[in-house]
Parts: sequence; C-alpha cells; structure tokens
Amino acid sequence: MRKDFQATVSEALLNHNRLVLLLGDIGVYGFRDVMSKFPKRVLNMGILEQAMTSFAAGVAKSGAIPILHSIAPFLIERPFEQIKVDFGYQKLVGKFVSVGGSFDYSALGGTHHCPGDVSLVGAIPGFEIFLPNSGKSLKDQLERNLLTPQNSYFRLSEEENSRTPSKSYDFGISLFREPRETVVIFIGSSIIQGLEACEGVDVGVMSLEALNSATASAVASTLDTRQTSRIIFVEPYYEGSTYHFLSSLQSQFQIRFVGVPREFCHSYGSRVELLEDNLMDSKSLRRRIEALV
Amino acid sequence: MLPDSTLVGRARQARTKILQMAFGASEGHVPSSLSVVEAIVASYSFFDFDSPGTDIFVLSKGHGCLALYAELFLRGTLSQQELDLLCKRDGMLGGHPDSTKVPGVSASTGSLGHGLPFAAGLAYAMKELQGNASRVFCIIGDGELNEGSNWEALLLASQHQLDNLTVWIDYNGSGDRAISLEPLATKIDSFGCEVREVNGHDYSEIRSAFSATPSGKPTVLVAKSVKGFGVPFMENNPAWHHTVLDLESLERALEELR
Repeated sequence: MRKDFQATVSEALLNHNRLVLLLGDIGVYGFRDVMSKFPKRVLNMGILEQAMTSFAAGVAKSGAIPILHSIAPFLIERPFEQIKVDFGYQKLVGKFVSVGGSFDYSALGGTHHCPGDVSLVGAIPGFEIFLPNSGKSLKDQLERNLLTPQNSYFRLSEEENSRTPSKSYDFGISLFREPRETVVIFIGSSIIQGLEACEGVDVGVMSLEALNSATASAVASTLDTRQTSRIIFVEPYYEGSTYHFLSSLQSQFQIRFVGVPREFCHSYGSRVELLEDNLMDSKSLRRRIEALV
Repeated sequence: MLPDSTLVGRARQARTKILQMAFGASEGHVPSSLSVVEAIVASYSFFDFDSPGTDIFVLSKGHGCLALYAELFLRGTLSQQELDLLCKRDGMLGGHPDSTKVPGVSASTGSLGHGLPFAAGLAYAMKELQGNASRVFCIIGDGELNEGSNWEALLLASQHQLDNLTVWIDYNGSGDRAISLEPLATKIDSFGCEVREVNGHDYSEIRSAFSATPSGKPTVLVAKSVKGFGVPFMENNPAWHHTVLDLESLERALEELR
C-alpha cells in the first residue's frame, strides 16, 4: 500500500502543480524522484510535526493543497490542535496521509501505536477519513480526493486485502456475503481478519473504507430493514471511535461496535501477535461477533 | 511609511478605540493590545496589507486583536457598528481574530504558537511556489515564545531562507514570571535569523529596522515594549491583563492617555 501511495502521489504531483508534499522525515527515499524533479513542491520538513502542520496551513492559505505525511501518532496525535484550528476551524484544505495504522509498528512499542487517530480526526468537523484495505483502493481514493476542497485523512495499513467483493457500492462500501438478519461491516483493514472470522457464522459481510457525513445513509441504502435488523461494525482502532459517523443508523437498526479495547498495549511482537493481544485477530473477532449475534 | 507625527496621532486614535471597544464589550486583553499599537500602526504604514496578492499580516498573539481591529477601523475596513458588536452574538469580532469572518484577518489565532509557523508557510508559498514579492509580517508575544512550535518555525524559516518573512516579537516581559527568554536576541540569532533589537514604541527605530537591507535570512525584530503602554495605571500591571474596564477606569484611561 505504501508503494501505491508513493506512485499515486508522485503521479499527481506531476499533473497538478497545486499539490505540495510535506514529509515528516519519512518516506523520503520513496519520493526521491519527485523530490528531485520538484524540489519546491516536495519537502522533507524534518521532525517537527506541530510547525509542519501550521506551515502547511499557511501553504494552503496561498491556494496550494498540502499533503502531509508521517507515522500516525506523529501526524495526528502530536499536532492535533494545529490540525483542528489551522485546518478545521479556518476551513483550509489539507490532505493527511499516515502509515502505521494501529499496530503496524508492532515491534516498536506503544509510542508508535495509534489506535486513537480515527477518534481524534473524527472529532474535527468537516474531515473525511479514508481507510483503504488494499493498494488498489488507496490509489482510487487518492485519485478521487487529492484535489477536493475538503480535509481528508488517509489511513494506510501494511495489511492488504486480496479478496474481491461480490459487489461494490459508492462511499467505499463493498459486499462480500449477502445480508442476513445480522450484517457485520468491517472497517478498513479489519476485513482481512473479518472474512476468516465470519466463516460459518450466519451473518452478512461487508467492508467499509470511507467515513464521512454521508456514510450512515449510504450504509442504510444498501440494506433492507425487512431482512436486516442488526449491524455490527468492526473497528481496527479504539472501539466506538466511529460511533458519531454512524449513530443515525440507530433509528433503523440495532448497531454494535467491536474494536480495539481502550487500553494501552505494552506488548512487542509481530502485528499478528498484537492483534491477538488486542482481541482483533480472526479467532477473537469470531468469538466477539458470535457473542453479539 | 508615514511621518512619525502622523503615526503618533494614529496610535493615539487606535488606543482610544481600544479602550472604548473594551469598555463597550466588557471584554478584551487591553494591555496586550496597547503593547502592539506601534507595531501594527507602523507595519500597516510600511507594508501593503490592503491590496489582494501583496503583503500579508499575521497576528499570532491573537489576544492583542483590539489593536488590529482599531487599525482596521481607522483604515475603513471595519465599521463602528462592527466595533460596537465586539464579542456580541451578532458580531464578527471576538476576543481573538477569526479569519473566516473578519476582512483583513489572515489567520484565526488565540491558541498560541500557531501564527508563526503559519506565517512561515505563507512566506514559503509566496516566495517559492508563487514566485512573487509578497512579504509576510507576523507579530508574536514573548510569552508565546514558550511554545516549541515557534522555535520549530524559526528552524524552518531559516532552512528555507525566508527573507520575505519579518517576525515582530512583542517583548513586553509578560512571560518573564514563568520563563526568562534571555538572552533572546542571541538565541534567535543562533537559529540563523537576522535579528534587530528595537524599542517597540519608537517609530524612528522601527522605521530603520523595517527599511534595513534584506539579508537573505528571515528578519526577527526583538521589540522591547511596555504592556499597557500609553495608559500609565495599566503599564506593567498584571492585574489589568484581562480585566473589565468600567466607566470610571475608561474615563481615567482616556484622560491619562499619552
């Protein structure tokens, strides 16, 4: 997915001179070609995320569109107030792209984990969040949204979904198994564990790769209330982070959330092991979903 | 830049407006606003902030906004009616400036440490992306310099040789009770900026600093000032930092205004 990010943004920089890429001293090697070609529009800003964010807002004020890139906790959590005020409150447009997901930097410990980012970004009015589950999805989302006049957060993951859905709807919704009384909607990369988790469980299976003000109505439009009464959302980040995007569904469906427990994770190990520790591996998800059906 | 005598008169008008606005609204950081009157009056005279696509003013110490509102009123950008609605529900002017509502306000500030990196980004965009001759002038407070984002911004401004950026540090000493910044000029100089120390209320010194030959570096003016300048009973008196001005205080302030 990271390579798709580099290729797609590099291509966009070639074609759109309003785009300015600001790197928080990561991904520099991957962007070396465009950095060489456009030294004024591709900058390694260094490791100063607060100033980078406000600096980017100043760039945005001039009419350019900054793309900011770093590891999730440093892109979102450290400069949160700069994002909120300088972009959100001031209605300036920036595109934020993180790597690391919740536990991609599993061996590096809690400072590099970021299961809280979606909750934070979702708290800023006007931001839409993209959670691609494959490089192909990311490419499509970037191509459609890099130039829009709206603040966007793209949350990259090391995990790659290779299964093709049976049907795709607008707003990043895809169908993997026909709806039943209960439909489980796996957000972002959680579909990768979700497909295995739901094998043999009598539920419909869908994936969701974008969150914005239209998400709830888009989800509702894909389901028939005569057939489906309960939706379980699986969140690959802190449980409940997505609630406010989806709360209006409560008037039609019983909605439940299964996500990362709100506890600090002090473990090291592989990403799979940390998913196990956080009850987000396929076996744990199966158990948690079955308990709700 | 206008003659000193004209600027002195304008500053007096601005201070009168600041006091009247604060009294009318029962709000405002009056001494912080009085501290930057000369900075704002002089910069609006020296730079061209009025025409689109020219120079840009950023007030990072947003709590000094009454001085900016006063200048915008004196320039005809804001009306008396708008000043009368300061901090009122139906008004556009608040205790900190809002770029989404107020003409002439380029940045919504109030949370300290945002304006300087924002101004650096603007200066970078003007110089390197648009290739124009626009200059960016940013006022920050000395207390605000406690925020690390300002020092990050100075690193960036120096790295990118933003010689179209002028930073005015309103050095009124209000931050000293927490953290001493001394030796401030030396610190700023060590970041690779062109530092000039000025009396922040002396137009001849300000004129000279503004007019100095560009050095290829960002310029930082360490402007010694007096918090509450012009109203003796408020000068360097922390009790007035965010105190409501009653009628008796207003009348006394206007009478003593110098």
